[in-house]
Order: sequence, then structure tokens, then C-alpha cells
Amino acid sequence: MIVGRMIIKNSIALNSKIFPTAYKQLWQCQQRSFSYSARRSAQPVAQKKTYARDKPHMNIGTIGHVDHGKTTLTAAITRVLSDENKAKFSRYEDIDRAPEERSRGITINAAVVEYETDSRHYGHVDCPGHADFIKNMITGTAQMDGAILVVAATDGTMPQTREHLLLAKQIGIKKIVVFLNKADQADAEMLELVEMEVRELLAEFSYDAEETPIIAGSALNALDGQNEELGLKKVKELLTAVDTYLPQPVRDLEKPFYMPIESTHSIQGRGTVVTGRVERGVIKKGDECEIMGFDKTIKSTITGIEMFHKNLDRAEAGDQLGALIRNIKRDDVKRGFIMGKVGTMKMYNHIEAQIYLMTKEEGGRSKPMLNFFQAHVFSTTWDAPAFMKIPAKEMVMPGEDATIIFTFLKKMVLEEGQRFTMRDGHGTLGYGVVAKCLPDANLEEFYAKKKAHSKAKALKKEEL
Amino acid sequence: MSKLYIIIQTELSCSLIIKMLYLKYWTSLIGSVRKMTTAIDKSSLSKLRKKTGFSFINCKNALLQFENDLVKAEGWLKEQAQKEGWAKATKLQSRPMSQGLVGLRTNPDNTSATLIEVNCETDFVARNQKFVDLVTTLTTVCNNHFTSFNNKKISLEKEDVNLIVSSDGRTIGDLVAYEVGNIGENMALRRAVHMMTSSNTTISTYVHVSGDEINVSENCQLGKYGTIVEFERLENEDKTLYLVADPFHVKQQICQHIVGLNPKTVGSEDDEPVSNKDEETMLIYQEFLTDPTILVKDVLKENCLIVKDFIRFECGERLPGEDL
Repeated sequence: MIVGRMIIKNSIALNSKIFPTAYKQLWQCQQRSFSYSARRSAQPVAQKKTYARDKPHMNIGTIGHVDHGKTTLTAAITRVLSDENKAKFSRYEDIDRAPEERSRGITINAAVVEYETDSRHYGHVDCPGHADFIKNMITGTAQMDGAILVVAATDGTMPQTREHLLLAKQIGIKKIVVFLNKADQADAEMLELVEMEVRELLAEFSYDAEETPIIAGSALNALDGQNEELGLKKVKELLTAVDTYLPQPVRDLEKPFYMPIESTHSIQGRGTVVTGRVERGVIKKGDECEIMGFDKTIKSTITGIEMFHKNLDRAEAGDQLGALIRNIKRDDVKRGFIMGKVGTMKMYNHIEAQIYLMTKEEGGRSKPMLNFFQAHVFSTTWDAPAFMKIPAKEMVMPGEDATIIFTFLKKMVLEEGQRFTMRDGHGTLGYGVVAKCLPDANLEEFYAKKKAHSKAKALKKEEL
Repeated sequence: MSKLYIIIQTELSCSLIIKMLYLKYWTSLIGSVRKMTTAIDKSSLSKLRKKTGFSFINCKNALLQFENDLVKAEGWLKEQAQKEGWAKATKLQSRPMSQGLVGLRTNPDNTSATLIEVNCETDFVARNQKFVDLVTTLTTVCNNHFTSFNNKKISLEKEDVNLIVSSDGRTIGDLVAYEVGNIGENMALRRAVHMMTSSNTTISTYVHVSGDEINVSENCQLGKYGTIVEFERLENEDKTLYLVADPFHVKQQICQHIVGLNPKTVGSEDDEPVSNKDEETMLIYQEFLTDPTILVKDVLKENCLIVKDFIRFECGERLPGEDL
């Protein structure tokens, strides 16, 4: 077993040298949770507030018209919670003037504050535009799990509230809480009618029109510490609704076991060891597993787990481990295969994805992407060439997000919500997230189309 | 001494009485407001809002003023809308705009086309049907206006464009302000260009949309990027050169290239190309977008085409000599 240990140790060290990109990706995967714990463990230096670590984390955001008081509400929430030592008060100006964030080189306009309630810890994000929310979703920074829609009771819904709800749908938000702001300037009849109007609109976008909590109050009152009935109390009511109505995202630990394989080793007398970081779920010695990737599916049993020079009976999400697998030759598996719970993974060669193409300033290329563009897609530990099809459009410009279809030459383990990076020979082109796994593409047909496409080009040249 | 005291006393009591009166006046005023508020018919308010789309508070004020008379209230709201729009537009005019749409309209006989840029604050609004309708209207108004001049090329900046009068007598400024009142974001028509063909030239256009397709009426094309390109077709002496079957297709590809690769000038054979092809700003020396193995000048040459002139708008782009 010493050899095994050595190998695992070395492989980790090697990995960081040989696969810097993969490590970077892994690092980024962990970044959120890491920055989180770093923040918390840095307490003794300055006398910072102590967070209870057991509170589940959730990201939410505010959406709504520019003048309906999103920023005021965000400031008011921190103000109200700061009285209970559950947030640091962020002033309106600080949130409003939040600098552009650079996430993985991409410029995103976003203001992020954090606070906690009795039951959860929240990251709260506010973006000025549709594109910023989409970029947030694609890069996975402060991915929104729920949203507060802010509507001023004096105005009612705006024409563009439709676009706000459309966005919420697009980034996968299942439930919304509504705050009817400026209730201090409206009367009961108006409030009632605005509420009706909001519910109608929610129904139109297939949100639960009846159950969605709608709270009428005044963010400004809460921020200024006036009119407790409409200010403080309503903000608290809103937070309770957020706590109870917005569902907690399933924690990684509770999901089925999933581990992208980083490297494989053959250990004489024992068999094949695969290493990687467990992304989700829990694994126990003796568990059956499936190893999938590059058109292949292999069934096996995990006969040993090792981590940090120790044999383990059990490992869980976040652990970097080596696993001994039964009856598999080293050459049967390689980096990029995924080891997971039997029956929980699927392979596809055809996906619909949301992508963001970086501008030249962000490190991308200056030219647009056209149909049949070949990108090299990197996701988890695998990378594979993929061909792009742009439905209903001729090109995607740098700095744009778009819905595209990717066709892979080999089937890979893919699932909705999976993030990836696109590169070409020169560098990173952009990022993406799987929106839908599509029925397998007929590759023969695809090749024929592709051939026809390049033939048309070549012919033209010949003619020229 | 005592006299003075009395005077002070009376003054004090006087001011007290005034204050009390004032208070009473106010409370009665508030009372009357409350009374009037409750006097509004809820279903009328709902109807008025549904019908006009104006804000709840304005609908309420209109009903208050005309004692629930729906017809009068609606008339008044419509009258007020233009005024309110201008007030709002003035109030919001300093807020930065980086989003919006370009609008393009080609005349049916293909002899001229107009390209305009309209800005707003967020891309949410840029996707909204009301904004789309506004840009469509403005494109049409500008095009009608420019066509009447019969000039080869007209290029107007914000101040001048806003004075153009539409067929119903309202200026472009009025039309924009009206929607500012409605949508509640700062908006403006930033620039407009009109291009006409000469006897030996043709024009082609191309618009690229960011995001979903935009539903447009009235033969307009809307998107984030737009271009109008003027081509001249050369008489080719050597007929064998005349090979590409579909000149429309090639012209479209050149237009798409201009949107995609953002050349600054057409350039001529006398100019020196830069060494790094990726930084080339002269159209003819750029690598052709659809086939990077050849240069645009070769594509043009082999198709007996010359690009005489082009206009390219990118919505929200920084213009020379302007702080965005």
C-alpha cells in the first residue's frame, strides 16, 4: 500500500504541474466555498463577528426596474440585520457604486452583499443588466438560487418587468418572492391592484401565482429607521418569506456520488487506482460504481479508498482521493472518465448550451464565431473537440452570450448545469453551461453536413 | 416691564393659536385627502390602469380629479403623458446609457437606406416590445425625412435628429420623451445616417442581433450591430473571371464581415497593410470572415466588386471624441 500512497501523493503533486488548467478549474470550483471558510477562519486577527458555520448557504438576487428601489431594499436588509449582528450594514452608495467584478477574466457588473438570517446564510447579488446575470450564471459566480422581484406600488409593473421574469426563467429560478416597494406612498386599493397585477404576470410566466409571497412595505422607511410598521417589520417579513418559500438547493453531500478522474495508476499485485476529487456525494469501500466517458461505460467495485496516506472506509464531497477499482486494467480508463454511482450518469454527444464569448480585452479573440466553428471544450477533468451550431443566427460576436448547440465526436458524461470552458489553439475563447442534453446526434449525418459546408467553401475558392 | 410681559404672552398665545389652527387645517386637509382617496372606485382604477398602462399613482390622480369619470380621466392622462414624458426625460437625462438597438430600413427600390442608433439604460428595456416599437417608428420617421432630401449621404448627431418631425407633427424628441415617461428609463436617439446609391452602385445591408430574434414590423431590421455597404460592380473585360453565381450572397458575406471584424476604412491598393493581420483596420486587407485563408480584396476582385463606402454602427460603442 506504500506504493499506492506514494503514487497518490505524487500524482497530486504532478497534477498541479502537468495539468495547471485542470487544477485551476478545480480550484475555481472550490473557490466559493473556500473564500467562505477563509473569511470565517480569519477571525482572531480583527474582532470580527462569529458566524455559525452550520447555516446552509444560498445565493439570491434582486431583479426589477432601475427606479423601483432594488438597491434601497438591499441596503435596508443589511441595515435591519445589522441590528441583530447578522450583517454588515452596506450603505446605498456603496452598493450602487459597486465596482465591476472580474471573474475568470470576464467583466461583470454586480453588487454582492452577504447577510444571514436565523436559518440561512445569503449571498445577495444585484446586476444592472440581463447580460450580467447571464454571465454570472455561465461562470458560476454567485449563481442565483432564488430571486426577490421588486415592484414599486406607485408605478405597478413596468413594461420591462416581463423581461425581468423572462430572465429569471432563463437562469433557472424556480421560485420568486415579491416586494411591493414604496407602499408608504400608495393606498390600500392601489396595493391590492398592484398585487393582482403582479400575480397575473407571475402566472403568465408559469410561476406559482397563488403561493408566491407578496410583501408590501417601504425599503426607504426601513433604511431610515422610520415607520416601523411599513419599514422594519416588512423587511423582516420579506426575509422570513425568503427563508421559508425559496427552496434550499440540495447540498453536494446529499447528491449521488460523482468523481471526475484525474489520473490512473497501475499498482502491481493490487490493480488499478484512479485519483480525483469527489465533487458530490459519499462513497464507501465496497460500493459498486460506474466509470463513463469517451463512448465507454465500465462497471466496477471500489475495493479501497485512500486519502492523505490513510486507508478510509468512506469519503465524501470535497475529498481528494485514490480509489482502487476491481477488475479494470489501467488502459481501460484514463483522465476524463467520470466515476459515479451506478445509474446516475449519462453520456451525450449533443447538447444545447448557453455560452459567453469573451472580448479581446477580456482575453478572448476579436473575431466572431460562425457555424461549424470547432472549439475545444474543457469540463471537469476531460477535454474534447466540439462543433458549434448557432440556431437562427449566423454568428456570435465577442462580448455576447448566445444559445448554441455543440456536437461532440465522442459521447461524454454531461448533465444540465454543467460548466465548461472553450478554448482554441491560442487561448480561452469563453465559458458555457449546459442548458439541455439533446438526443444523440447522428454523427454520420453530421459529418456529411460538415463536409458539404467545407466543400462549398473550397469550391468557391476553386472558382475564384 | 409687566406690559412687555403681557405683549410677549399675547404673542406667544397668538403663535400658539396660529400653530393650532395650522395643525387643524392640515389634519382636515389630510382628512379630506383620505376621504377623496377612499372615494376612488377600485374597479375604475383597475380599468384605467389596464387600458392606459400609465402608473397607478397617475391613474389615481386622474380619477381623483375627474371624480371617477373614466373617459375624462383617460383623456387627461393622455394629454399629460407627453408633458410627463418630457419632465421625466429631463430628470433622467444625465443617467448613462450603454444599451439599446440599432434600426435599419431600406427603401423598397433598394436605392437608399437609413441606419439609426437608439440607446436606453438596461438591456432588459432593449428587449422590450415597447422599445422595439419605438426604434421601429424612429427608423421609419428618419428614413422618410432623409429620403425627401435626395442627398448622397446624410449623417446627423443627437441634437439635430431630435428636431425631425414625424407625420403626426411630433418631433423625434417628443416620441422618445413619451416612451421615457412610459418605460421610466433614460433613452435617446444618438445618431442617424442615410445612404443613397449612385447610378453605378448598389447598397447592401446587414444587421446582427444579440440575444433572441426581434419581432419587427414595417420592413425594419433591428439588432445590436448594423451596416450599410455601397458596392460598385465593375465591367469585367475577361468574362472568365465572372464566376460566382450569386452576387447577393457575396455581398451579404462582405456586410457580415464588416459587422464581425469592424474595419475602420475601406483602404486602397496604395496603402500598406499592417503586419499583424488581426490588427488590420483596412477592410480590403482583412482576412475574409467566412474563409480566413483569403483576403477581402481578393474576394472583391474575383467577384468584380468594389466597396465604395460603408457605415457600421455598434450599439453603445464609444465614438471618437466622446466620453461614454
